[in-house]
Amino acid sequence: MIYQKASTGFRIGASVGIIILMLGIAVAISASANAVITDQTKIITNFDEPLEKTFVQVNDIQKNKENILDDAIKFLQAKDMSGFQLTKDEFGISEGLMINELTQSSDLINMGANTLPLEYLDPNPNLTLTKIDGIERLNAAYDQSAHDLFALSDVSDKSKLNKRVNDLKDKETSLDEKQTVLLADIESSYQNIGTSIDQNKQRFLMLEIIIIASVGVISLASGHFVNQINKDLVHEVFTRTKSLQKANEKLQKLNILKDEFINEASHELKSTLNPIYGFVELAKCGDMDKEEALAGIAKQARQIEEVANKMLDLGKIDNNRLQLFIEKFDLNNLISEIVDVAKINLKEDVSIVRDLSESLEVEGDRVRIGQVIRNILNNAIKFTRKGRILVCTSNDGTNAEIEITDTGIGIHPDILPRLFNKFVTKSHKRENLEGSGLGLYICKGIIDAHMGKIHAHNNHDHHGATISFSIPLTHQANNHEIHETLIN
Amino acid sequence: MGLQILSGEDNEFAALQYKKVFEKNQHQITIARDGEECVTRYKKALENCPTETNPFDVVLLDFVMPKKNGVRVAKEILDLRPSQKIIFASAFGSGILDDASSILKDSIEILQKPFSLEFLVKKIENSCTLKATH
Repeated sequence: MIYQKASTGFRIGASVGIIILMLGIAVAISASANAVITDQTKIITNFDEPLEKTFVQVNDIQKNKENILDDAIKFLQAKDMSGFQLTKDEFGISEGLMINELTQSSDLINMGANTLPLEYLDPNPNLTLTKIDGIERLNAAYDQSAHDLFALSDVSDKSKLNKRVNDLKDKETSLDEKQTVLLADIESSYQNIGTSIDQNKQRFLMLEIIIIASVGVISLASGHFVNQINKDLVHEVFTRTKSLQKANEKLQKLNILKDEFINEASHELKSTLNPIYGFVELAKCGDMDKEEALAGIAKQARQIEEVANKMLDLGKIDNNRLQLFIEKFDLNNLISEIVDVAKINLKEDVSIVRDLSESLEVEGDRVRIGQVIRNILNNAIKFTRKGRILVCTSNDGTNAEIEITDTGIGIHPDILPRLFNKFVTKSHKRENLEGSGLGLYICKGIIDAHMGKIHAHNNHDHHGATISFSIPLTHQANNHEIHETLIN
Repeated sequence: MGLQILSGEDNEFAALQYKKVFEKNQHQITIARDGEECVTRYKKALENCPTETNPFDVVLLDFVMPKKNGVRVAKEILDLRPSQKIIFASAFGSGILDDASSILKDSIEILQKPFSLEFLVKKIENSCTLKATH
């Protein structure tokens, strides 16, 4: 659950992070788009437009110059020298204007190359400058030819006049061509950059729409996801509440059983105490032999001790503080001693048979292991009205195994899976079940402390049950002992 | 004439002491070691007993007994003879009859363990005298 929580938190964080990141990208793209479009607009405003205007101006001046020269030729042919002189002055003015415009265009290009982003400058400034330079040089040659024409004072030599006029016309044509090409270049660049701005605007707009739509989709998905998490959490809270309720019910049940146990234990103590008072009373009155009374008192006292020990063992096992006194002993001898004692008060129709391995020396708490064997054997005797109880031992080289099989009533299927739990046998409504309901729980605690295993099953022939346990031949330290060693 | 007593007691020493003390006081006591035996002995005694008469003056029962507990034995006996005097000797206290039927509650007396044997004899003798007087 902790892992799931972390994962849920991570997923929510990641979703919010992705949304913020996408919005950030959208803002960045928008800013970048604005920058590109601003740069391109700057080029149009500060470069392409003025350049185009300048060259339109250059074209106009050139046309004017051509007209002036046409007039000059007419004045010359008409020998109108005053009109001729006038055109010469007019040409001089246009010549100056032309040079001024061309210089201005060169300056404009140089300034653009220095201040505007080069990647968007089209046509290339150096190329344009070269072209303008060509136009300047051609213009200078054209102007020179015009000056040569204006230098004529005699038009009698027709061939000379024609030659100069033709020379002018040739230069005019090539100047017109160059100016037209350059103007076309500038106009084309103007149009291209305008188209590029439109395309960029559309592209960035599309990109922003895609990003915003993606953010929307992610937000919706996150909403759904958060809703799902919410549902999961509600389900989790419900499940946990239910399991807590169950645990609480279990605890209450256990508490009732514990109360019952305390009740039973106090009953057991009081019931055992009663004959002790009886013995004292009878011995006092002389109605019973003192020796007999003392023997009875001693036996009853042992029963009280047993009840008290069970209560103590319960506390130790519950707190995982059962202390073992490890020694080497022969398990077969211990079993024989216990079986011999058990045989004394055995019902007539019940027998105990031993099938013991040759030698079974183990390391363990002799008293505690004896307690386990006695408990299992007494249960077998209690639940067997008639038949045989078989006690077997075996040794696999690592563990000693003890198996006690009876031909009694068997273990009820309801309690079999929980047989070694506290109060299980006590809580089950079965007529001839007596005892504290703790015996097998204590047995398991003792075997667990020996790092062994205990197991119970009903016999396959439906007659009786088998309880077996195994313990390591060599003692292995349990958690409590390891803890104690570490402390000391 | 002494009293006829049936006692259901699984503790061998307690049973022995009851036998000694009641016989010393001229009463006859039959001991049953578990619940089933107790019902069986009651039924057997009933066979030699005239109708409308109880086979024992008092039945002394322990609450916890093997095979059949004291409350069930008492119920079965009262089914056979509703007027049978029954006394419980219990270490549990009077709370043991909380779940029992009202018929049981009316017919049964409870003696809290531990008690002295002398007290037990007197209690039984008194309750039988009272009953006879009634």
